[in-house]
Amino acid sequence: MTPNANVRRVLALAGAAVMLLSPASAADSVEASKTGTARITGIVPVLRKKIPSAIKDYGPPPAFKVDKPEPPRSAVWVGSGAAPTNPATTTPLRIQQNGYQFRPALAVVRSGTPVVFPNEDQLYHSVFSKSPPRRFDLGRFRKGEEPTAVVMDSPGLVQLFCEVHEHMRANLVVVDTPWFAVTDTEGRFSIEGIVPGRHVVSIWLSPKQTVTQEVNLAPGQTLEVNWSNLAQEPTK
Amino acid sequence: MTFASRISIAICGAVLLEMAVVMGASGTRIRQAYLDALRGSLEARIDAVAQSQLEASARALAETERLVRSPRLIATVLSGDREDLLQTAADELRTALEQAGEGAGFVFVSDDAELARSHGITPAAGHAAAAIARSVIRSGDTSRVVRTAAGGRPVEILAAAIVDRSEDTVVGALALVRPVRFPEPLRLPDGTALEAGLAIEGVLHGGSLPQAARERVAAGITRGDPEVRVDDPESPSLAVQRPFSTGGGALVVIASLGPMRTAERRLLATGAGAATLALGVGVASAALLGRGLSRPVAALSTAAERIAAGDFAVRVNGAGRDELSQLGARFNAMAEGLAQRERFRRVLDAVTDPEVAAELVAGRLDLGGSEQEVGVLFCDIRGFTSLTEGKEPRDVIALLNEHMTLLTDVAYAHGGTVDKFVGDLIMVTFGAPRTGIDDAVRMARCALGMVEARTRANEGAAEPIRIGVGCAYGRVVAGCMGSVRRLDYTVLGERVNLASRLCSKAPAMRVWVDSDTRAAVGHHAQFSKLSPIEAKGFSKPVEAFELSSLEENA
Repeated sequence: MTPNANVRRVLALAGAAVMLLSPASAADSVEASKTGTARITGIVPVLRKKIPSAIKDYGPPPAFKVDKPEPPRSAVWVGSGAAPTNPATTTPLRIQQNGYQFRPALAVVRSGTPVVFPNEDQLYHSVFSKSPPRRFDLGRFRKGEEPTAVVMDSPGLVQLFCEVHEHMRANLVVVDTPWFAVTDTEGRFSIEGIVPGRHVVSIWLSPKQTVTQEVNLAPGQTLEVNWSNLAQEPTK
Repeated sequence: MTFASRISIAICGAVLLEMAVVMGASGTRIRQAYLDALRGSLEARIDAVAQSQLEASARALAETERLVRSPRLIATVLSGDREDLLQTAADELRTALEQAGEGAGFVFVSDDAELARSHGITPAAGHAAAAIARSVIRSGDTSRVVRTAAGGRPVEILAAAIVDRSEDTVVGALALVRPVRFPEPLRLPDGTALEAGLAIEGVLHGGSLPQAARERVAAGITRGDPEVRVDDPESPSLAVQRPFSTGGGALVVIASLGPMRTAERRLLATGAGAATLALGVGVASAALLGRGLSRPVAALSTAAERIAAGDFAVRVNGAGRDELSQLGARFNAMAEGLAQRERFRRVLDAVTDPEVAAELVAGRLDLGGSEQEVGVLFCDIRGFTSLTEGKEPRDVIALLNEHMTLLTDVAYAHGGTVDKFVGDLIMVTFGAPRTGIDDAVRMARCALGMVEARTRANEGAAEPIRIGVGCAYGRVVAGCMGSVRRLDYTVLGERVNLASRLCSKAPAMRVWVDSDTRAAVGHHAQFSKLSPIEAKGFSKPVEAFELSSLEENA
């Protein structure tokens, strides 16, 4: 029995208890059912990441200042198996390279979504990925030389690198569902418009750790969850 | 043993000793100087080789460390795509791999599995590299250099951890394998062949030393000896080492001592040649010297022998400045002196009786005399005046000389001493200076001999010479008379006068003697008693006898 299954079971029992024992929850569900979709909100763990001990000085001049990396966040999505969205009609996601960091450093997109990588710094950047869901290499480009958008056609984790600056890293989680969110730095999230029913909720904590939860959403229900203790042993 | 051979032996001995000392000393010195020079060259060379090895190693390590930081590599490792990982590493490490040459390669590991391994690498090297890469991950080091032997071949393994800095996690490690190679051929400016090797874990890799020598070098280097000398006759060599400060192992450079041995042999051959030459020269000069010494000595010896035999005319080579020539000159002077003395002696013999002369020369006759029994014989010519009448004095002297020579021979034949010649008279004594046996008998025989000799000489002569002989025997004074500067040895006394008187009284070809002579000669002779004669200086008539014959063996 895997730990994840164990957790899932515990949480499912807890969810059932909440639904049975809490009148407030029942009222919420009734309200949500009026609009026909459900909402899930709550808190998930955010793995504290050590700030890299030394960020390489990329001298020689002109020297530049490397901004601090974005604080860590987690990603949450509900369900899977949805067909990719149409790239032509989908608003591209912008992942900037700004202050010699990817911004945002963590993003979730639905498969089929184009992603653009504007360079906001004064020096060259490059963007490439060797992740199996989407391999690409845009090469080097300067500010204003915006390369063509990259369509994320398969679900999975796409890790983004800059060939020029080894410390730069972004994680792009491509999901085959329209319901997803990136938490704030505390791990809080909210996803709406979910078709009621039984769903698997995936919580991405790090490239190496994604946990799932099962929920059963009633129409119009707002499910509040507290999954803050979900993380396993902190990663090494 | 002749001087020549002694000198030869001495010279040969000196030459051989000198050669042995010189060759021994210079051989040692030359070997030491060669080794010092070689050591210096080796030190310089090993530093250069070590430097280039370290530089190559550092370059490879830099490449490795650059690669493990490369976003492309980290992205590839994270993607888990083995083929992509191999391709990416091969691209990124191309320079390092090309420089490392054949057998170079790399291995990727994670902390629990081997991710990828390049094709050009041997299984042993790959295994060793993977182990070291994993040890880097476990130790938390950034990188590590290890020299080891993989499948019997020395390799340098440069391992570095692959750190995902964004996540600050170690995602794996890369180990680059470089076969250790040395520039070949190494050669010193003088042509001495050098070999470089690597000593790892007590084993010497590389080079072409035979196994035994290889083990000796490896053992010495493991002990930490700064240099190891192998005196194996097959492969004499000198090895120096430079331990690497990191990664283990020691660089070894080995020089063949063959050229030194050749030089030594050449020196030995040259020395032996020189010794032979010197020996030859020594022997030749010894022979020359010896001959120079022995020939004059032999000549001196022969000359001395001839002088001993009475040949004072002999002369040796006295020209020259060496000692032998000086000796020769002195020898000649000595021979000259001896010849001179011999001439003096002849003159002395001629002017004095030889026996007297001998006594004089011997220094036994002093001025003054001694009384002794002596026989005195006088003999003169009858009718000398008429015989010489009308003759040239020269002819007279010739006549006298001939006569006196005849009588002198007779006197000497009977052991008489010719005392003096006075005109036609000869005086002979017997028993002076030395008293002899039968002085009187010898006198008597001499007197008869003189008459007989004269008679024989007169036979057929145009002018026969007739003589008379008188003899007396008794005590006289014999000695040197005159002055120290001029003296005669003679006898004086009454008997002398008596003999003279008897001589003048005796008829021609007759011998008259006194009674003492008769008594001394005794019964061996026939005497006829004469009537006593009046003799001047004698107070009364003197008894006289005529001697007519004498027994042969009286």
